[in-house]
Amino acid sequence: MYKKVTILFFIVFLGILPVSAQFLHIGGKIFGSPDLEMQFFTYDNNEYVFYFANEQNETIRFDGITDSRIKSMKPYPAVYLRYDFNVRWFFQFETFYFWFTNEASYKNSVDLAEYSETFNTENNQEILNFNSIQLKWRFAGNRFFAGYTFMKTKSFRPFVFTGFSTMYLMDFRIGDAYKTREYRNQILFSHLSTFAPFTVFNTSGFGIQYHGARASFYWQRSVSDLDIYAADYKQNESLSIDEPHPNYEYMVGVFMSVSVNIFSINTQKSQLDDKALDFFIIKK
Amino acid sequence: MLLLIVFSSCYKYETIDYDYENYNRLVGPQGGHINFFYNYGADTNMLLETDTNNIIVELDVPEGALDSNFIFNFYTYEDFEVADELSKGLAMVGTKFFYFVPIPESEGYHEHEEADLSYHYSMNFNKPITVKFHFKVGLENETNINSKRLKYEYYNMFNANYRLYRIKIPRIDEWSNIRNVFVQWNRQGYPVGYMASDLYDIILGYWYPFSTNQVMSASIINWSPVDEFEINPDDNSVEFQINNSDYMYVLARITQIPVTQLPVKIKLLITDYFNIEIIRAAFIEGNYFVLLEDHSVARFSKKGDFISLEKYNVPFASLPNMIKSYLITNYHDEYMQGNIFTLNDDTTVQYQINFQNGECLVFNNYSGVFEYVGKYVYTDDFSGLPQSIKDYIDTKYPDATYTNLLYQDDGYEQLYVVYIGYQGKHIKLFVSAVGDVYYSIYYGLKKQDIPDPVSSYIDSVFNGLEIKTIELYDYVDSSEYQVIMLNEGRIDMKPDGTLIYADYPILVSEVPEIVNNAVADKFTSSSMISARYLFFSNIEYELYYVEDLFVDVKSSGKVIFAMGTNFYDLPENARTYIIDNYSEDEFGDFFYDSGEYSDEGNPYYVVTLQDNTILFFDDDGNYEPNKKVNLKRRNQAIQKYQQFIQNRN
Repeated sequence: MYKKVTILFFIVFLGILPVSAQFLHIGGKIFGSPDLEMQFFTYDNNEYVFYFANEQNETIRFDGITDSRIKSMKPYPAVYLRYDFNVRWFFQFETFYFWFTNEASYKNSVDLAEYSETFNTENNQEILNFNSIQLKWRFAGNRFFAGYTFMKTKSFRPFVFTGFSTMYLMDFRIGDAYKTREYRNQILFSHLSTFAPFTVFNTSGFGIQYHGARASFYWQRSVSDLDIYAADYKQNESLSIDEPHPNYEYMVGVFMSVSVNIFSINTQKSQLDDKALDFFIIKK
Repeated sequence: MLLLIVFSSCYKYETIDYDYENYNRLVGPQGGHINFFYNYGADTNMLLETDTNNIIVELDVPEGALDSNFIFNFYTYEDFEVADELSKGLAMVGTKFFYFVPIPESEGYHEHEEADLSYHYSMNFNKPITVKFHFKVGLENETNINSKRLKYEYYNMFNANYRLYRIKIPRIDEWSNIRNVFVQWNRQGYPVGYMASDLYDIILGYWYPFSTNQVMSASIINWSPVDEFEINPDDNSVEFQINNSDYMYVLARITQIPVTQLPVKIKLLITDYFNIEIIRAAFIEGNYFVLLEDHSVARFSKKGDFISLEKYNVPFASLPNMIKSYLITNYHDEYMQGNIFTLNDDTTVQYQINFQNGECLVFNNYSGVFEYVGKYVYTDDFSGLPQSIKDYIDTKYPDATYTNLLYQDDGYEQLYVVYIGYQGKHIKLFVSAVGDVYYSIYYGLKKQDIPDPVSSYIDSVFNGLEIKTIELYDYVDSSEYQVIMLNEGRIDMKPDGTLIYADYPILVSEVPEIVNNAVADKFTSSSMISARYLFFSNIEYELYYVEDLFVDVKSSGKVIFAMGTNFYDLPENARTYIIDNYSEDEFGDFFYDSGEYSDEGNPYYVVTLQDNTILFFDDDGNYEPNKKVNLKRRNQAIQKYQQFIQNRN
């Protein structure tokens, strides 16, 4: 479905180009996310419960999964292709790379002191994996949007845009962890590793342009299922906790970006030259 | 488009083949296998959970053994002091003690974040569950000093002479209501095993079935050999079957030690009258306790006079004819699990006959001939419970779960004690045979279950101290909450906040001035160690001093009792009399009674010299040669005081 939508946009985009386009820009961009929230499914009656048969009789209880929010101004890279036509309307296609960490947290039956004594075998100051697992995510993605630029005669030109993004889960793994807890952690993780490999988000934002540089502020929210089990769950919400069921409900975030055109092509330069010549001849 | 294809092909959904079943302790009616793995050692990064060499216990649950899903918790217990005590003539432990606490999955866990206690959860399995205990797993990685000592001094001594023993964990009130074993819950709300102090008492035999007297000598009375077990020396494992959750287990070797300290008179008495070998003896609080080969306990006074004999498991053939006839007539189909024979110094005898079905019959010969006195029946079979009682319970507690039943018949009255579960609470009802409910006890209550006035009082007095147990005594026309704190402080209070009884430690600085002055006026000891607040009909303070002085003082400032070993706490006249007629060195201890609670009426001192000579003095210390008083109160005070000294040490 989403692949079809993507292909359709490409066809439309490429179809528009020869009609009224003026400038084709190729540029680089960095963006950051001051707030990215990953919302997990919560279940009223069911919980993930793991009864681990070790000497501590360790019981792990995911009561839903705690909300996970990432706040980071870490810069991420993107490259883009933007086509301006009649100096107001534009289309932009981006490719970006994006990574972050968050935590899935849970309740542990073992007292913290007991856990530290038993499992923190290297006496690290930080007690890892007692009630959370760090998750490491890496995504690549495409973003496609259309926009409108105001005040075309001014140096500073505000603009708005809307479109969609697609994200591809490149890598998903456990972050900082005790090596000695790897087996338990992998069992927990195997129940968390249900994020869909391909996801779609809608994107809207605004910004301001100064010559070839742009700063923008935008948000995006998932519009496709984030979890490989979400569709089944929506059809049958009475799924037993013992059956595979989804963890990730939606993701929403705000982003800030700065971009600059590296290379620009005036695709209608020859036509303009001809019109200028005509004008000159008539004047003359 | 190309990028899309490239990205789509990059991600490969990670499938992880970790077998949770191998590391799961939940099992249901379909049966299953549980492996309990040793916790990680400090010096390895191996994935021990995947290494079969690190399985410490295997449980093989056959299909149909359980009616529903159960979570099995596995615990070990080791205590160097226990092993040390056992080694002195009782047993050499070869492994840790270990046991299981199964919990129904449907019951879930206590969802609260505070420490808590609950009673032992007893359950019978429909079919035997096979246990394989790898008793050497993990010992190499022990870092605790006591664990290392146990390893080197006991576990490494393990050899083919060791046998598997099981130690009874009593079901609720099975051994009387003061002999219950508590499961301890941690601050996360999960069980962390039985209270170590309870296990200590059970392993060392300080608690045993229907024991009423305080047992002063350790014994292995609660130990019984497991008949069928198999020790595999190749993998250091022992394999056996369990039918219920009512036992803890240990591989051990029972030992005997020679007794050299007993007076010859006692040895001769034992030889002449009992003709049995002595395996253990103790001298406690002025009496000799002699553990005989048949695990009976003979008690003798300091002078060697016989006091009593408790004998366990008398062979059927040796029972009195009257009892044998009674058993043959009425209990010929029942398996006699054991009995307790008590011979008193007045030659009266009592027999308690225990049956595997939970019945305990009592016979005595107080009237000169043996007669049946009554019985206790502890059972989970409710078919014998009168319908009127069932109707009462079903009406008042709809859908209640019947758990246990204790029937008592002392020859005069029949009493049913019915244990039920209702809305998450445990209730014990005391009901007559005709269905009259005398009272009910709600036990295992939580703090949120008690009314605000009671809760507020506890908060104000104990300042956040954790609660050990809360019980509600529901009488016909009133009710009381009994709250026991972790420091053994106790409050009995009506729901409206009316205080009925209190007994709890207070700070020395909280003792009223008038009380301090009363002690200072009468005694020279002045360095108070600790104090307790008592409330019943009036308010009293129990004060303990460094100089070995214990005093009971009313809040009005009147000294009620005192007990001490400091010669200078005596009145001057009494000291002069002792110095003139004996010597200060011969002084042993003294006791003071105001006469308020005794028949004497007037205050008096009792001084016991080293040679047990007893002297009486009046309140001013004047010697009273003709005084004779009942010393029961004195003995009670001595016992209390010595308990304090023992706890302090």
